Amino acid sequence: MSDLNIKTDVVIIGAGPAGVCAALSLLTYSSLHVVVLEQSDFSQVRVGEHVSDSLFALLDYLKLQKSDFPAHCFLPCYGDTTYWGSDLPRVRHAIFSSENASVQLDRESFDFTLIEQLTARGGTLIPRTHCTVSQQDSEWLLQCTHPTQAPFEIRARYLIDASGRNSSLCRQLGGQSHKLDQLMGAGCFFSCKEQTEGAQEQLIESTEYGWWYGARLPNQQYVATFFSDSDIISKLRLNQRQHWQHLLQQSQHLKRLVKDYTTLSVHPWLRNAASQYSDASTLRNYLAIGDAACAFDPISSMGLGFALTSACHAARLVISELEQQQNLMQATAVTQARQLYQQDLHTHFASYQQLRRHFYQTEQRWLHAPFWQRRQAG
Amino acid sequence: MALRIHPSVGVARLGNSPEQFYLAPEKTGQLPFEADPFGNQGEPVHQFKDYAGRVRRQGQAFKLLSEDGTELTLDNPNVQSIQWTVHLANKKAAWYQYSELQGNLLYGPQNSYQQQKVPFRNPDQTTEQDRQKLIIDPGPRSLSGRRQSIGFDKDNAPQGYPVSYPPSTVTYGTAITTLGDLLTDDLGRLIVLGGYGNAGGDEPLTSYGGSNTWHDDISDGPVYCTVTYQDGSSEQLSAWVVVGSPDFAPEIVNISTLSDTMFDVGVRFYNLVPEIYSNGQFNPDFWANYQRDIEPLVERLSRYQWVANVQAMSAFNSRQFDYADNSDANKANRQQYFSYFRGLNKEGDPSADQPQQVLFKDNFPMLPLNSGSNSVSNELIMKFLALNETQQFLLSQWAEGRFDSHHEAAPYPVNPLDQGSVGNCVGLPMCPGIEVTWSMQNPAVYAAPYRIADEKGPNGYNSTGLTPSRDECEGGGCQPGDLTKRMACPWQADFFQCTVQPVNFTVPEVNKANGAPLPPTYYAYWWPPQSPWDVLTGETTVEGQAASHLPAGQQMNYARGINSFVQMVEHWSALAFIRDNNSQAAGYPYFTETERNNEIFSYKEVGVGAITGNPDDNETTIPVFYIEADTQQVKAKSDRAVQMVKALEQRAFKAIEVASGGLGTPRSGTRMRR
Ligand SMILES: Cc1cc2nc3c(=O)[nH]c(=O)nc-3n(C[C@H](O)[C@H](O)[C@H](O)COP(=O)(O)OP(=O)(O)OC[C@H]3O[C@@H](n4cnc5c(N)ncnc54)[C@H](O)[C@@H]3O)c2cc1C
Repeated sequence: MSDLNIKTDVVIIGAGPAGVCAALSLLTYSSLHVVVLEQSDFSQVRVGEHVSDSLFALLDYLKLQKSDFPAHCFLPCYGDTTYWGSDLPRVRHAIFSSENASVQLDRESFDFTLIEQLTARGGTLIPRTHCTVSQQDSEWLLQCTHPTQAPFEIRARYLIDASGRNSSLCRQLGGQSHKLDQLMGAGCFFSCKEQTEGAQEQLIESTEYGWWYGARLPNQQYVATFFSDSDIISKLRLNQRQHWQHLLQQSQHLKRLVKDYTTLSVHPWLRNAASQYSDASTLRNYLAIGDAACAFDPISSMGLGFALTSACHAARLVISELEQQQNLMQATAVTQARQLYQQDLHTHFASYQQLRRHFYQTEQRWLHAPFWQRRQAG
Repeated sequence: MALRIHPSVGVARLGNSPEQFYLAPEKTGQLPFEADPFGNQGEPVHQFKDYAGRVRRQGQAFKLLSEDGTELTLDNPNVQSIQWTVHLANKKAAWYQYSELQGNLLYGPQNSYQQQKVPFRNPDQTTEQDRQKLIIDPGPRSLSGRRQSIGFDKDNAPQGYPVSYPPSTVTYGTAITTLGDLLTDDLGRLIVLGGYGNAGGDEPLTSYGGSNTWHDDISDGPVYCTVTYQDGSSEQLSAWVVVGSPDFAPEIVNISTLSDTMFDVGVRFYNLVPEIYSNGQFNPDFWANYQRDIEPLVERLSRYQWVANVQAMSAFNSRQFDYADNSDANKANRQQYFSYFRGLNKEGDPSADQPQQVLFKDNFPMLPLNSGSNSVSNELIMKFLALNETQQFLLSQWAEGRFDSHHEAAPYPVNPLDQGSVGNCVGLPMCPGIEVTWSMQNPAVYAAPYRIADEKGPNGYNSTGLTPSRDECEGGGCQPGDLTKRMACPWQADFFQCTVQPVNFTVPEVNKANGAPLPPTYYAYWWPPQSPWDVLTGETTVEGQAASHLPAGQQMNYARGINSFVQMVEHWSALAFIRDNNSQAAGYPYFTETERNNEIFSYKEVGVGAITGNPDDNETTIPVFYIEADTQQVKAKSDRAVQMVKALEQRAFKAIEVASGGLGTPRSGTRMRR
């Protein structure tokens, strides 16, 4: 029972880059009413900051200029070193990217500016909201709870799932998801106040158990993350600070880089980073975008770019579906468009799989270690 | 059948969580209850703090019960409406400085504040008019129906009421803008929520009694209910509510609770249980009951060890003989046990040479091992604690063998809810205490046992506002704010400073010489069940211990890391709740700290050499906890995120309100939180 209700055309679950950009796209190219639900209070630090500069073309489509973002939001990449396949330093894009130019994002500025644009364009975003989703008549019914508000309901004609890598919503609704691996990141934040100019900004270093990724963040912080499979992470007990530190001390390069930094994280955080592909093409009035549709190994730096492209494509599809729903003649066209969307995702994911195999095959030093062995076959 | 509001004196508690609350326990020593946003009661409380580590407020639910225990709610077909009115106020800043027992009229009219020349708080305000402005008086608030709410902020003040709020800017702490909120649940019961634990002032805090210019958001006041029946008749009822500081160890009970105080007053002055006391005398033939009258006391003595090091007390729960055995053969045992309880001072007798000035019997420090109600100043000394008269009488009957032992003893004629609420407050010592103080020992403030006398009734102050200097202990009933006005201002000052007290035990006439306790002294406690002192650490995970810097099971000082009054004002909500981790196995409690906000405290192990200058001394270290001046370390959450969430929610939920209005769903009153 609820006193409060919202009716909307499109409800988007998850206010990550994918969800917010889908909303922006809908608000910019249609007059549909959009509500975005976010479970968190945005206090969790956002990770993933390395993107190809094709990002700007996507922002342009969303009618956003570089100047709409704070000046420090985009930093050029420099001091970007990789120890992968050998103990010799290489620049990162020589191994992991076909593109030349890439940028380093200040994720907080980037994400928060997108959110401000969303409100400026008339969208609604409700943080700290959890919902249960069901279908009623031909509508989506979301029963929502919020820490300060009475329970309320949202009814929507269309649901966009931008809830990130867990893809629990998709599976709950009867879609399927396929996981390629069990990759996870275990990371800690450091404060690097005494940082000297021109120091190392970013570093990738492979080890027998997986690989390290270190990156300088805004606000004189540094993040170091160890990526490996979840069974290995739990065997090494990397959720515990002393084991994580111990492993860090076994690295060749990263340990030297962070040796003067103070750890800010009381205990390491863990994030899912598995590669996976979800298929929900059987669900009506539902689309998954961003990590909820396809999630990529962070080594590929594809996540953010894909979050934005899939958001824009999905928005276009939603607009055509909702605007044509009155016109039954167009039903087949709609179905075709949906299939095309899913097919696109599929193709994209297939080519990613090749790329991923290629990345991991470049590292030949620990072929018998489970982490690398699992990745040779692809 | 007569209908009454229960509890007769409810107890809400402060919390700094802007949105979350739980509901007051219904029994003494019980855990509070979870509640939904409307105040509908749920399971025993899961967590005392919210997701951001802020203490949740404790709401007090008020119910309408007839004598046989049946509840009247809006679901009753005969009921047309139930309207609640509550008038909270905080009179602390307008009252006298806390001066221990001076001003307590139980010592006779010559001990009045004026005669003792006790100075006012904020003495620069001299006229009655200016002093009235020192009161925080938001006026009364009313509501009726289901799921309604209204706040004690300025915006909701009744039209024309001469409201009074403190300055909106302060040098230290946080300005007070509200004293709390009222809600009604799904059945139209009242929930009273108090303030947020804010306190603010312009002068540095210096003493446990507080300082001039300070205000806090503690309060108390009458609760009225008008029930209107379908036939048009109506009924008017009343009760009282007190807002206290959080009960950080709710399952540990004071040796003398406020319920014991009210019971004692009821027995001795209101003929509550004539078989115990009548015509000015206790009845030596009264037959006590072990389970009802004695066992709770033994139980309280046994739990004290989890919040204070009182080894001497453990003998009194060691069952060295069968406490329930009333046989003559056991009499010597019982009498020896009883002989270690300190006798009482003669009430109102100011002379020095009295039982409560005595610490030892033979070589044993007598019980209760707390400070008395004045171990601080040299006027009206009461160094050590004794049970109250009725408690002492019942224990003496037990010692004599005039008791039985069975579970079916007739309960006393007090509603269990009335006992349960105040049973979780401090009853003794009163210096001033935690929730309320010695005025509650005075029969003049009651209308009946457990019922506070109300001066004027609903809307009695609508044209005048409240009186700053009237002493309700002279009779005539209480005004809003009278029960809490003697307490420290702000409450954090007393809470921080008063858990232990070194008390001189050799010279009955003197507590202090040259501003310090006269040696030799004994280390006595004030109110550890409310303000714990020695506690066991409770972090059992690697991460938890990394953050707390301590193994589990180590006895530590409870407030470690809070090193000043001002830090207490700002960071009181970082303190742990002491909770029984093994409550499913009665008889084997295991109390430790839980939910301490370890993140805000930094830690250093300091070598003794750092103080002595001798490097050899560094092989011994002292743990030091403190709050980092540089808040950078603590602030993982960005300000921007916080601001953004606030703005988004304001916008989103305003839209919802408008939308729901459009749908025709009724929604009156104001939003619960601001
Ligand atoms: C350690 C790590 C490093 C990475 N590095 C890079 C990199 O360098 N470059 C790159 O391009 N990509 C990187 N990525 C990937 C990138 O972060 C993601 O691809 C990108 O954030 C996906 O955006 P999204 O909006 O789909 O999902 P997310 O950013 O995960 O956002 C999902 C949002 O939905 C919310 N949500 C989830 N469930 C619910 C629910 N039921 N109800 C309401 N809200 C919900 C979440 O709280 C979250 O805010 C990295 C990922 C990881 C884990």
